[in-house]
Amino acid sequence: MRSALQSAVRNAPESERAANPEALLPQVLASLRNWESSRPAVKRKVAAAIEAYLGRQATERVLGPVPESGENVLSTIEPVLALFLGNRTASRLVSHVVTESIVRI
Amino acid sequence: MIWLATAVYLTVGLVAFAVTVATGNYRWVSVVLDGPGAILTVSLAVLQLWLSAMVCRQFLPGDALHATWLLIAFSAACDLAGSISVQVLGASPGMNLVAHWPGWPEQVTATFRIFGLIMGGILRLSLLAAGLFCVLRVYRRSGLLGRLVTIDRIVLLVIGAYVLLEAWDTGNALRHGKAFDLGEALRWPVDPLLWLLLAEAMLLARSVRSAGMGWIHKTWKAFSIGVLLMILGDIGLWATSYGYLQLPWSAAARFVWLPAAAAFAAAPACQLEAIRAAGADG
Repeated sequence: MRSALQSAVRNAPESERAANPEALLPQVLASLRNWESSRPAVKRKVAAAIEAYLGRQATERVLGPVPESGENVLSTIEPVLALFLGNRTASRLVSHVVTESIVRI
Repeated sequence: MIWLATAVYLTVGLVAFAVTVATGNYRWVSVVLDGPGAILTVSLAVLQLWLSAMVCRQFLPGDALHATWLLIAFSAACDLAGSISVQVLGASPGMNLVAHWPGWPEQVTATFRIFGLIMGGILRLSLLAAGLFCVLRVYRRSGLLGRLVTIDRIVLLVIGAYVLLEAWDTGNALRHGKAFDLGEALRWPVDPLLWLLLAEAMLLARSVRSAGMGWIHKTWKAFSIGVLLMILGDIGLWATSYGYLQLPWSAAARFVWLPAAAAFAAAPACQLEAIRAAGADG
């Protein structure tokens, strides 16, 4: 999402950004809509990131109840990873998954 | 490195076994088992303890696997104490360098052997069984616990029946006044413990299989392989002592113990790799 907003601001003409920040609004909203439409990819990306640790079938089973939009995906995977890797390592891994799979979409 | 050393040892063992079969001279196999075999067994026990202690440090008190790894590390310490006592200090004078010291009482060698049997037998297996029980609870909490299939249940029933029969025979022998020495008596709880470990290893193996191969599960797969090999080695001992296995096959059965030790050393190494990979990713 961050990258979507940054790109919206970057793509607006310099003069427009300086003179009238409200003019950015349609572009920001369009970027947000784009991000919304790409949300199903969140679950897939998170699954790909943790599959190496949990195994394919286990990942499918753990992420089974998570909706395609990716809601609650982190609160679902972190406790399971923490069980096997410890809280410290799981938290580090989840931070990495957030950066790679959610922020960069 | 663990698997490479094991593969080299087994290759040398296979050659020695072939020479023994060809010449009929048991000494070839005996030299490999009592020399490099003993050194590797002790080395793998050291490695297992060191790696398990390293894994312990990665888990904080309160983590689900903290207690598990403490139990496994203590089990590894008992294994090391048992290996040194049986393979070195309690071995026959040929392999026991300490026994060559002037004034070394023969009784001390026998005492070390019994101490080794306690440490490497009841204590090690109890701690390992408790550790694996904790892991199975973690698998259940995560919803990833597998299920035993029919063949597993049949194997458990057959071995369970054997353990019960053995206990019945021992009880009968005691009632009829048979005297058991300490070494024999110390082996009584070993078979029920091995049965428990077999059940745990089977359940772990099924859980790992249904989860798919991930870093996390490699550790527990290695433990289940180690336990299964250990049980195979124990069956070899039983078959030898009851005369079902004769030389040189009884010697061949002793080669199972080293891959078992290698699997136990590889298990904490896999856990460390999983933690490091997750840390590196994070």
